[in-house]
Amino acid sequence: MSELDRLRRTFFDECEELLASLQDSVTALAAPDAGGQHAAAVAAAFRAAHSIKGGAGAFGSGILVEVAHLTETVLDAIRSGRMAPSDALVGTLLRAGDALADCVSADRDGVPPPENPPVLAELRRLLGTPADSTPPAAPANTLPDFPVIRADTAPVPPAPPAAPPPRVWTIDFAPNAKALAAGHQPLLVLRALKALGPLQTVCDSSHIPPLDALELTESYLRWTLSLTTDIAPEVVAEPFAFVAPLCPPQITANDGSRIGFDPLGVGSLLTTDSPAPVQEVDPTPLPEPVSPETDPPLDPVRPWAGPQQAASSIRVDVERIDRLVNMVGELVITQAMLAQQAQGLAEDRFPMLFQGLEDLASHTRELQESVMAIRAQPVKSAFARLPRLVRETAQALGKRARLILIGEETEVDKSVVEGLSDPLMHLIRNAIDHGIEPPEERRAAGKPEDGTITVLAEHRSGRIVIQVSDDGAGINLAAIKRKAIEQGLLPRGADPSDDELYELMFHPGFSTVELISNISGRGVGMDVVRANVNALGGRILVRSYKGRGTAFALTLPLTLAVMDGMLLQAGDETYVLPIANILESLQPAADAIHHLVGRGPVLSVRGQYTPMVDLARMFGHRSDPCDPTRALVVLCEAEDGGKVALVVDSLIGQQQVVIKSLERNYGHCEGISAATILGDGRVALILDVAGLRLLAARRHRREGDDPHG
Amino acid sequence: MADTLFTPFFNDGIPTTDDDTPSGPMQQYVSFTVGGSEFAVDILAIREFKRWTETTPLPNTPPYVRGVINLRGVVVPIYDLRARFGQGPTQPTATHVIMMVAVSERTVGLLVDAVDDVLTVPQSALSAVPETDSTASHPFLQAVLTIDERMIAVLGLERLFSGEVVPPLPLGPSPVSRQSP
Amino acid sequence: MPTAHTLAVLVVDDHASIRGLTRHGLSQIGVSDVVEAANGTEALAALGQKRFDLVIADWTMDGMDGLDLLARLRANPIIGRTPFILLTARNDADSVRTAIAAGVNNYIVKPFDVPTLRSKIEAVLGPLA
Repeated sequence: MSELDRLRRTFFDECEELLASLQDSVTALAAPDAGGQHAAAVAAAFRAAHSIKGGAGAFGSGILVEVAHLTETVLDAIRSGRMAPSDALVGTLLRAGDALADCVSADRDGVPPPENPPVLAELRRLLGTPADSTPPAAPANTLPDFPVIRADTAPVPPAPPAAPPPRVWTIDFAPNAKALAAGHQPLLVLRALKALGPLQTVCDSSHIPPLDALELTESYLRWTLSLTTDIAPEVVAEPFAFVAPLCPPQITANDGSRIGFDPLGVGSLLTTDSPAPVQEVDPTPLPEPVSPETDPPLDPVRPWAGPQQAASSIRVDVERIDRLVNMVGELVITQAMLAQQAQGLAEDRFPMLFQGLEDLASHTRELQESVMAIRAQPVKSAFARLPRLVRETAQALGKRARLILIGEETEVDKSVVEGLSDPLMHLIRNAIDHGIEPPEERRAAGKPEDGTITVLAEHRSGRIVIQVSDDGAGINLAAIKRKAIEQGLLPRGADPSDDELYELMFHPGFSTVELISNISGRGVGMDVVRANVNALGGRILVRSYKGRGTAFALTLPLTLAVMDGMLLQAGDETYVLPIANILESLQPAADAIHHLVGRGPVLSVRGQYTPMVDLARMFGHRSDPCDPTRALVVLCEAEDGGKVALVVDSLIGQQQVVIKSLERNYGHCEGISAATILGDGRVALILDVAGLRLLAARRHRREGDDPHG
Repeated sequence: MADTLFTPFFNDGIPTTDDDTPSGPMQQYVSFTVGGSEFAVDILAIREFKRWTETTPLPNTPPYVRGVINLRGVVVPIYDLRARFGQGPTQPTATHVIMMVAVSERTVGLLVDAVDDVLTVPQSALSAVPETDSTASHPFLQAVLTIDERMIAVLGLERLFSGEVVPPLPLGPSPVSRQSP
Repeated sequence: MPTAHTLAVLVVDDHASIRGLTRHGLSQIGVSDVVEAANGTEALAALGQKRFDLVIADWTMDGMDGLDLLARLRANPIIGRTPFILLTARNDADSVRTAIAAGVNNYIVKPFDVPTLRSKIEAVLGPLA
C-alpha cells in the first residue's frame, strides 16, 4: 500500500469519528436549548463537517466535498442566527450525515459513491442555491494567491485588448518592527518585486540611530522602489499581501494609478464560497467591489447612511464597551502627556497649539464621561432583591419591617452596581436582625410595630451615596466595648470614643454574642461588608442613635476606571492622592504640632488631633525629618472616616488619572491602592489613605517615638 | 538556512538541532548573566526584552523589588535578580536588560546584566541542584545545566516569587512586614 | 537561500490524515525534518524543544486553535518570528481577513497540491534550493 493509500485509510477512519460527532451534535439540537448547549452543539457539528470537507478534497470524492460543504454552510447559518434549528432542519442535517456516511463507505470500499443523494437538493433548497452553483471541490487552491487586490487605476481600461504599456510604479515601503516581529522578511518582498520587472531600489538608512540607541527589534530602513512593468496592478500588489496590514506600502504609477489596501490588506477580488443568498442577510456583508467613480482611491470614507429603522437602543457586547473604556483611558493619558510637553512653550508664540490643547482636554473629558455613561446603569438592579429579602428575614425573626426605596434610577458604573448587591443584602439583614426590635418591644417604646428600613441612593459631589437606615434600637456601644475588652482588642479601662467603637465593629473576627444570630450566620461580618465596599473604592460610615436607629452610608466612585487625583511630590517621587480623600491643605504653625509618646506627631486642627505622616520618610525616600511648618500638610479622610495629616514636599496639581491595577502583576503594597500612568509615561502610585494611617500607627506603636518613625 | 529566521542577535549561539540526539528530547533555554554567574530560564516563559529604564519605586518593599514600570499601559514590577541572589543591588546602566517573563498568570520583569544565548540542550544535560549549603539559600534554582564544562543554573520562576519557599528577607532600617508579591 | 533538506517544519493538525498529507507534500519538495503536533498545546511544547524554520498549522482545532497558537508563538521574543502558514478549508474573505489580521505569514486552502505548498513556503522563506 502506498503512503497516500495509508493516509487515505486514516482519513476514512477519522471520518467515522467525525460522522459520529456530527450525528451526536445534530441530535442534541433536537432537544430544547436548556443550558445554551445548542451553541456548543452547532460549533461541534460545524467543526466535524468542516474537517470532513477539508480532508475530502484531498482524499475523497467530489460528492463528499459537496455534501460536507452544504452541511457546513447550513450549520454556519444556524451558528450566526440566520437559521433556526427546527425539527425539519434537524431532520435534513441528520439525512446529510447519513449521505456523508454513504459516501465515506463507498469511497472506502472502492465503489462509486451515490451520485446525487436527495439530501443535496434539500440542502440547496434550504440555502436557496441553484443546483449547479455550488462552488467547492476545486482541485487546487480556490484562494487567489494574492488576497490584496484593489487596483484603482486612473482611467480604468475595461479588459484591455492588447498588452497595456508598461507603467513605472513607485513604491514606498517602510517595514516596521511589527512586521519583523511577525516573521516577515522585507528582502523576500523586494525579491518578489524584482521578478516582475526592472527594479531600482533606494534604501533610506538615515533613521538608523547611534549604536547605543539601537533597538534590536526596531526597523530603521525604508525603501523607495521603482518598478517598470506591464503586469497588472494586482500582481504588483501581491508581494505585500500579508505584510500590508502591518505596514501598508504607498504604491503609485507614473500614469496616476495607485494601488490601495483596505485596513486589513484584503481587497475585493477575493473568491468566496458562501452562497449569495446567505450573504444578503449577513449582518456584516463583504465590502462591495470598489469602483473608482464612487470611491476615492485611498481610505474610502463612506457616509453613514443612518440607521435603517428608528431604533431607540442597541445591544452591544460589554467587551466592546470595555475596549472603548480602555482606549479612552489611554487617550486621557496621551492628552496629559501633550499638556505636559507644552508646558515649556511660550503660550503667546503658539496660540493655536494652546487653544487646541485646551479643546483636546475638554473633548477628552467629555468623551470619557460619555463613554462611562454607556456603562452606567441604574442602581435598581442591585435593589431588586431587597423587598423579598426584607419580607423573608422579618418573617423568620418574628419581626415586622417595611422597606422604602428611594432613588432607584440613580446611575452608576455597571461594575459598581454589581459589587453593591452583596454589601446591601448584608446591611439589610443586619438591620432587621439587630436594629429593628420585636413588635412588642417597639410598642412599649412608643414606636409603630412595623419597623422601617430606608435605602436611599443619590449622587453627591461626583460620587454615589447609598444610605441604609433603620428606625430600630441603635447600636449597643456598651456591648461592643465590653466584648472588645474581653477579646483583647481594647485595653481594660480604655475610654474609646464612639467613633472608635464603631470602628471596632468592622474589625475582622470581632463579634459579640448580642450580634450573632442565625440569620447573619457567620456573625455580623461587617469586615466583609467593608472589604467589599473598599474594593469598589468606596468607604462606609456609621451613625447610630440609641433608641432611634442606625444609618450606614456607603459612598462610592461613579466609575472604577478613572478618578480625579492630586499629584504631589514626596522626596523625588510623585504620588497621586484621590481628591475624594482630601479635606484641606495647610501650612501649620509650629504650636499646632504635638508629639505624643507612642503615637508620633499629631496635628491639632480646630481642636481635633490628627496623626501626622511624613510621606517621604515613611516610604523611605528621605531619612531626614521634614519640618512640617515649612512643608505642606494635606489633611485627608480615609474611607473608614479616620483622618490623617500627610506631610508632603509640594502639590503639583489636580489631574484626572486612569486607574491601573498593581495587583494584577505584583500584589498588594501597603499604603498604595493602585497605580496610574502620568503624561511622561512613568508610573505613579495612588495613595491609600486608610492604609497609610494603619501603616503609621503600627510603626509608631512598635518604635515608640523613635526619630526614625 | 533562510536568510534571517531569527533575531540576528541570537543567531551565533544557536547549536544546530538538525539531528535528533540519542540523549532524549531537547529543550530550549535562554541564558543570561547576573553578577558574573550564568543562569537560564525556559524559552517559553520569555515575553520580551527591554532596555533598562527607570522604575517607580514601591515603598517598603525588599531591595530586590526595583519598583514598577509602564509596559504599554500595563503596570509591571521589576525584580533585581542580583539583589535577589543576595549580591547587593545592581547599578543599572543603559546596557542592562529587563527580561519580561510570564510567571503563572503574571508578567514580571527581571533585571539582569546581559542576555547571552539560546541553548538547545538534551534532557540529559539537566541535573538536579547539588545538595549544598547554598541550596537552602537559593531555593529558586530548579536544575543545573552542564554544557561544555560550564554550569548554568536553571531558575524556577514560580519559586522565585513564591512566598512559601523564599524566606522573608531583612528589609533595612525600618522593617515592615509586607505581603509577598 | 534556504535549502529544503535543512528546514525544520512543525505541522499542527488534529487529524492524522492531514498531518500525514502535509508531511508527504513536504517530503516531495525535499523537506524531511518534520515534527507533527496534534493540537496547539503539543505544538507549543514542540516549539519549546527545538528551533523550527516554519510552522504549518490548521485553523480549526479543539481547545487552542491555530490562531490562538499563533498569538502564543508571537508573544515570545525569540521564537516569535518563526514564519507561520495557516492551513485551512476556510477560503471566504472574512476568514482570510481574520487570519491576515492575526499575523499569519501565508495561507493555504485545503485541499492543496504540492506546487501550491512549495510556492507558499517559498513566499515565506525565499526560494528553496
